[in-house]
Amino acid sequence: MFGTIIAFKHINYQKGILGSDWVGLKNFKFLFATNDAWVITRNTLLYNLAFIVINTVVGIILAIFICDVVSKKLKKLYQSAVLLPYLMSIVIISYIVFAFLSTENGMVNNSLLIPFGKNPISWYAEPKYWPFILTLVNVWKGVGYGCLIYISAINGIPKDYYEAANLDGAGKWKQIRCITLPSLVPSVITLTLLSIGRIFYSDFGLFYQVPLDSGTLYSTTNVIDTYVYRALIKLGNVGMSSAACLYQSVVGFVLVLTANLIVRKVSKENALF
Amino acid sequence: MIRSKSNMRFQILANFILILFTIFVITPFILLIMSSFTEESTLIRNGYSFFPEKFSLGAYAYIWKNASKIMRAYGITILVTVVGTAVNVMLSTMIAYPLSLEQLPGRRAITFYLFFTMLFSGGLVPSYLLYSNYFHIKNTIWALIVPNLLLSAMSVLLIRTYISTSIPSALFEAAKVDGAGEFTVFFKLVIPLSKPIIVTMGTFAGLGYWNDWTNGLYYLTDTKYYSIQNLLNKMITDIQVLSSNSSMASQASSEMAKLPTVGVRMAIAVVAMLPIFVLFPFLQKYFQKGIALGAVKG
Amino acid sequence: MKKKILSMLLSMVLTVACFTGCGSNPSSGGETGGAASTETPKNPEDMYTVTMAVIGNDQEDMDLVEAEMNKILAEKVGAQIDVITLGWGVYQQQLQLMLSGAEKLDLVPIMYNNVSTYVNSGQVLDMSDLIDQYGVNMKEALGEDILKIANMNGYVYGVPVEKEWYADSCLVMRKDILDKYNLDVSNVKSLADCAPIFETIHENEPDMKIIVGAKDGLIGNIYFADVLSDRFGVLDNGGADTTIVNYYETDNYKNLAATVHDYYEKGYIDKDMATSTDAGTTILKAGNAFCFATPYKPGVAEQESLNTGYELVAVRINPTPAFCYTNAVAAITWGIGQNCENPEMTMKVLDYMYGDPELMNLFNWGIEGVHYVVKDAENDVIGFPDGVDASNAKYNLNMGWELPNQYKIHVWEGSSRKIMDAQKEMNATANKSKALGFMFDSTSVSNEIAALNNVVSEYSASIDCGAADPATAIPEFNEKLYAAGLQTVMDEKQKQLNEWLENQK
Repeated sequence: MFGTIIAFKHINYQKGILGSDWVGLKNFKFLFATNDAWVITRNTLLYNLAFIVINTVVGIILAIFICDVVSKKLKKLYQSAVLLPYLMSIVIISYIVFAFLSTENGMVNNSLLIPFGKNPISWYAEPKYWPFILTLVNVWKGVGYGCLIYISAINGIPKDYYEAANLDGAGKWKQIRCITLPSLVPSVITLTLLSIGRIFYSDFGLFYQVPLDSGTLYSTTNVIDTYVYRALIKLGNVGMSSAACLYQSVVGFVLVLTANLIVRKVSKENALF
Repeated sequence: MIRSKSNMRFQILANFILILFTIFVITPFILLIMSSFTEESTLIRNGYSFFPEKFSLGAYAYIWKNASKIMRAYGITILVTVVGTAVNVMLSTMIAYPLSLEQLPGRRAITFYLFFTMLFSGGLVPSYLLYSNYFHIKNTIWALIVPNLLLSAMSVLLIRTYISTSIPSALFEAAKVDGAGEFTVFFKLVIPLSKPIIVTMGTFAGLGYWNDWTNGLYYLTDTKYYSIQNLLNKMITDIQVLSSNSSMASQASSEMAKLPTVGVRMAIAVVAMLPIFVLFPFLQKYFQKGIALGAVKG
Repeated sequence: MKKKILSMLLSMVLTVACFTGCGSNPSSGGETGGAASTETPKNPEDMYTVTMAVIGNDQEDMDLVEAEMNKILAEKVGAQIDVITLGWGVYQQQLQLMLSGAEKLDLVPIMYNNVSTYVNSGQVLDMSDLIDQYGVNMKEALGEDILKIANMNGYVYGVPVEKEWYADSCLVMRKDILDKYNLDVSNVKSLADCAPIFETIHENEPDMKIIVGAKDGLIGNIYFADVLSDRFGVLDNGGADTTIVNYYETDNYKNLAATVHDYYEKGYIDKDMATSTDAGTTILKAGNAFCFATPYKPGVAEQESLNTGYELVAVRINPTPAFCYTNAVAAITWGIGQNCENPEMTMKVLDYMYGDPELMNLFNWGIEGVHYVVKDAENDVIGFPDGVDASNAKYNLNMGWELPNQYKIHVWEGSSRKIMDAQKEMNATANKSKALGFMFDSTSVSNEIAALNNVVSEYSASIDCGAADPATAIPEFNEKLYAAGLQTVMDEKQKQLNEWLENQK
């Protein structure tokens, strides 16, 4: 926490952090200096909202299916498959994406588009494809996390609920709607609130490494984290990077408080605090 | 009759979708593995493909030369993952349990506080000063275990949610009436009953440790304690730094000539994943067991 | 009671947890050096140990070599040395952190792009007086002009090393291909002159990638201006005049961009270049490529031939003749970290390195007979002993250009004393930019520079490799640069430059 004061200082290590001069809000200025500010804020928000919704929905669907698969072996296979991409470092993922999308050597161009008589696409120069590519990569990599949490939540539902429902003649779909989904609500709320708190942050690797830092794609790939990184990699200014970090935290914090307040209004026991 | 038919259909649908998803997940891995076996010049001439024209073990031969380094890094990774995960899970559950109890004074405030630290971190420089000047973990094995990963507010909150929703609090009351102390309740009731979430969060903590390279980057200048991810990351960042800076590139071109080729990078990625492929089935046994146990008793 | 214990336990754990988020008092920067004793202790254990960071790969036999170096240093300087190697990918982050903390770090390699951070946040010491007092060997090696060139407003943060101090460019091309199609390069003076050569190769070897390289590696490696620290406002014509102009609006830049775009359309340039992280050397080595652009220095063709395994020729295509400017001279300098406990002794050790080839041979090449053997005593050429090569060498730092004085030490096989002498000669004869010695202090415009960095990374790479049409992309690029505050930066720079020029008179 103490570190946040760095955001308001011009750090000089010979004077020490406490002894450095105060500079007010000057460190924050670069975040809003150009009209990029709008693009990066929009991108960050939209991507994160999309990721929250899609990962939750896909995660729940997969979790329900996996829990209901009868064959033990298949169940194991699916469970591993869902989690597997989570093990990959994002740089390796960027290599794999490149293997698919490279203009000259890529799988997609060489084995799909050209053999079918289509023109090859310079993927890394066409911003319009990237919202889909990034969302796809994010689901591929990230869905396992939520999915496993949902699986454990579903497994925590007492079996007799289902048995009772069976006796009552409720079909599979009805069981899912009336038993499984309601019992997932607390986990969904916790996970969503946590993600909302980080809504101004983004997975740096996903937005920097996967598009290979291609300048032409910035209109759809530049987010706050990558903007700050590019701005400061050469300057290395501690004050400015703390300022950016603080800005992201404060916005997330306010949003989470609001969201939590709403949750409290609707159902008190599900609120985070 | 109707029910089993609908069940049948459901099974088919579930398996169908899951198989599709599995293919979606696995395909990139196959491409990765195939390209690690493709001969370098083929890779450059013909591009990436599932069916490379020319196979080559060249990339793996290169890795074999550095086998001792890689084995050591593996050892470090495994040690760190095991110790880190164990401590992480223990700490998280110990904090989550009291937080789940209605009667804990200041429960909301503490949860809020936890959440707050998760959102507002002091940033890299202050944490670095703290760990290197006061905890003296720099260039020790602790550097890979303690910072950032030892405790996550996220897992505390998720475990808390699980305990408060899935374990009836009457159970605790009953135990206490029977004369059980808080510790007994914690070890005999809370831990066994929240096994599904503990195993899940433990898996994530373990993966977090397995995949982490940032701690090594910040707190290790001595490569003695490098984990496998640190090796991989070092190699990749070396490539990026050396070639992104043109003035440096001309100077250090002899360094660059030593850098591993694309095939080797892919091969190292495969090698870094290998143990997880091997260990996962074993882990999963516990995983299933944990989930089953929790379910029965819940 | 039990509840109390429980909540106490909880709060204890939480307190520990919170530390991850909390900061701490930094130690006040160490300027304790003044009190150091002047007599030299006789016993190596009592001597001051200079901790020196080196950027490069870690060496298995570092301890052995350090022990040998310590013998020399104990006898000649009365100090000991401890070398830390930092990898290429991590050095920037690690140095930044080490210089922020209370760690002992005496000798710091300072890459040019980190200077403003280090100086502005007081992470390195002002060496001005120390150089006057102890800088004997370095003065002899570098000369009076260069010695204190690495200063920002008089704050001397480092001492340059002897390397090539000028900017010049060339394409290195594969000789086997040139010979195969009987192509003559003697008349090629610019990138545009290469058109017929590329055309022939493209016709005959349609699969071959003609120009390869990493992103921003083409125009950026061909046309150099005196970039005055950061390329936002430069001096054209090698710094012959002192009016600051916008690099991205110069005729040279526009012409090159047009040529490159033409080549790109014709298929001469690797389509993935705008995102490539592999340098020309790496790609050429893998085969199926013809040439790449790289800064020129005597011996560059030999050096790259060695690295790629193909015989190469260097074709100079620089639109401006070679010139000497601050960025090149101060590309790497050695400074003293803020936590150094004994700056005097550190300075003595550094100065000694400029003068003693024996010590530096050890440092760079290892121990004679173990890590290298003399191959050609007459020309001072050395190489690996039998049975040792680059893949199993236990010590081969090979960072001559980073170390203080590479021109005094043995030469590795493939290069030669002659090449080294030619490089040194060129240092003396190259034109000097009028702003040689000027360094821009960007503190007051750091917000603008942060925004400009983003604009450059958005446009530069795609123009550089020809993927974008310069007719539309360059105006758009410049418009955005000005919107991000380029004029403010240029004005500030011009102001500082004028003041500096005034002071030089």
